[in-house]
Amino acid sequence: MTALLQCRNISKSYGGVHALQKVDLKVEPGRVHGLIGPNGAGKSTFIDVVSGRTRGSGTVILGDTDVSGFAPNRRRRMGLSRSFQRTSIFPALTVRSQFELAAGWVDNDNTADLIDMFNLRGVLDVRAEEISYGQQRLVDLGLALVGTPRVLLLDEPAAGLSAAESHHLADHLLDIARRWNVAVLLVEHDMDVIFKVCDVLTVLETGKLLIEGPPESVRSDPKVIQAYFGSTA
Amino acid sequence: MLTNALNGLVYGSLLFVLSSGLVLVYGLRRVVNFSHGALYMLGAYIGYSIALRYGFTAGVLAGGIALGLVGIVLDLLVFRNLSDRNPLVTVIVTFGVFLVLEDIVKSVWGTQNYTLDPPAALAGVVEIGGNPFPAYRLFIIGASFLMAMILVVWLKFGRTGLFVRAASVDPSVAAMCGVRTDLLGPAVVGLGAAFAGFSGIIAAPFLSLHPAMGSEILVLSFVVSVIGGLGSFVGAFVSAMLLGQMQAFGTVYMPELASLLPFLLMSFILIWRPQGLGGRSA
Repeated sequence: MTALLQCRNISKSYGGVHALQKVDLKVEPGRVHGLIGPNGAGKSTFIDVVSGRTRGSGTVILGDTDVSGFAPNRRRRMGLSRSFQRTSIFPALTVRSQFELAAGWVDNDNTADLIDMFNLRGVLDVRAEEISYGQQRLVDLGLALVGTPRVLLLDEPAAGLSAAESHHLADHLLDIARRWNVAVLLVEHDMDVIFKVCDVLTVLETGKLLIEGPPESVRSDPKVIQAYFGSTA
Repeated sequence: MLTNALNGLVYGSLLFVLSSGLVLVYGLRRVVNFSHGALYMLGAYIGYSIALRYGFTAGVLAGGIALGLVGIVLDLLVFRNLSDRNPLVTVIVTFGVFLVLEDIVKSVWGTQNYTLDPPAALAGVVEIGGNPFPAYRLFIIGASFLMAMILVVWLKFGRTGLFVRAASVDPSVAAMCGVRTDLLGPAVVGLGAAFAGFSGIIAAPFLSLHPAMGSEILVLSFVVSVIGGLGSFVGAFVSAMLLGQMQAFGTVYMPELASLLPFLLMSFILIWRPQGLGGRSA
C-alpha cells in the first residue's frame, strides 16, 4: 500500500538541543500509526514540524506532493490536518463559530455530520471554555476532521479523559480511519488507547527513532521496555 | 458641566478610534506598535493637504486610504517579521519606524503648526442644554461611534471578522485550521493604520497639526490599550471614554494634576486588575 504521508529525515534543534534527529516515518491510508515515547522524546515536535507549525528540516510528502516548504494553512487545505495537545483552542468562540472557521476553507463541508457524530448539537452556541472537558476534546477532534482530511495528526487526544471517554474516543478513531480511509498519526500516552487502535507503532527516544513495528512486537522489545514501558510492562 | 462631559466624549472618541488600530495590530501580530502615533500624524498631514485642494471629505478619505496602504507595506516589510521576536526588539524597531515617519513629515511639511477649518456644514454651533457646542465636535463623536459599531459588527458577525478573532487568539493554530493568516496580516494591519490615519485627519480641525502630535497622543493611546487590556476592544472603549472625561474635567478642575491623571488611573487599574479592564487573566 502506498503511504499517504511520508516523512524523511525530520530534524529539529532548539539552540544546541536536538529535539528530533533524522526521523523517518510513513503512514498509510486507513491505518492508525502510533507515535510513543517518554516525555521530551520529540513526539509533539514531530507533529509540529510535519504540520508546518514549527520550522524544521527534512522532507514531508503528502500523497505525491512535497509540502515541506508549504505554509500550515496550505498543508491543511491539501488535506493534512492536526489536533492540539491543549484543549479549547479558541476558548471564547462558540462551538458553532469554531466549526464555521474550519469549514471556511474546505470544499467538502461535513460539519453537520461531525456535529452529529460527536453529539455536539446541544452545545453549538456555547463558548468552548464552558463545555465539559470531554466535549472540548471532541470539538478539537471534530475541527481537525472538517473537510475530511487525508492525513490526521493527533496530539494526545485522550489526555485528561476518563477511561470510558478514552474508550469511546478510541472507537471513533478506528471508525474514522477505516471508514474514511484517513491516514492517522497518533501521539498518545494512554497505552490502552494505543494498543486498541494502532496498526503500527513508532517509538521515539530523545529525538531519535528507537524502533518501529506492529504493536505486539514493539511492546515486547527489550529496548522499548527499558526506555519506555519499564519493568512492569 | 455638560460641555465638559461632551468635550470628554469627543476626546475619548478620538482616543478610541486611534487605540482600536493599536488593539487590532497587537491582537493579530502581537506587536506593540510604537509607530502608531506617527501613522496618526501622517494621516492628518496627508488628509490636510488633500482637504486643502479637494475638500474635507476627500481629505478624510485620503487620510484613511493612504494610511491603510502604508499599513499593508509596514506589515509586509516589518510587522510580519516581528511576530515571534522578543518584545524589546519590536519596541525598538517600531520606534525606529516612528522616527523615520516623523522625519518624513518634517521634511515634507516643515515644523510649523497648521490648522484645518471644519467643513462649512459643520462649522456652526449647536445648542445643547442651553450651552453652545461646536457641531464639528458632535461629528467627531458620531463618526467615531459609527466606526466602533462597524468594527464590532464586522468582528462579531462577519466571516473575516471570525478569522481575525481566531487568529488573534493564536495565529499558528488558526493557520492550522486553514485560515490564510498570510493574507489576514496585511489586511488587519492596513485596517489598523487606516484607523490611525482617519483619527488623525478628523482630529485636525479640533487639534492643530504639528510634528509632535504623534508622540503626544501615542502615550495616551497606549494608556488606553493597557487600561482596557491589550487586545480588548470593549476594554479600549471603556478606557478611552474614562480617559476622555478625566482629561476634560481634570483640565478644568485640577489643571496641575490633569496630565498625571491617566497614569494614576492606569496604576490603580493595573494593581486591581493586572490584565486590564477587558483582558483575560493568564
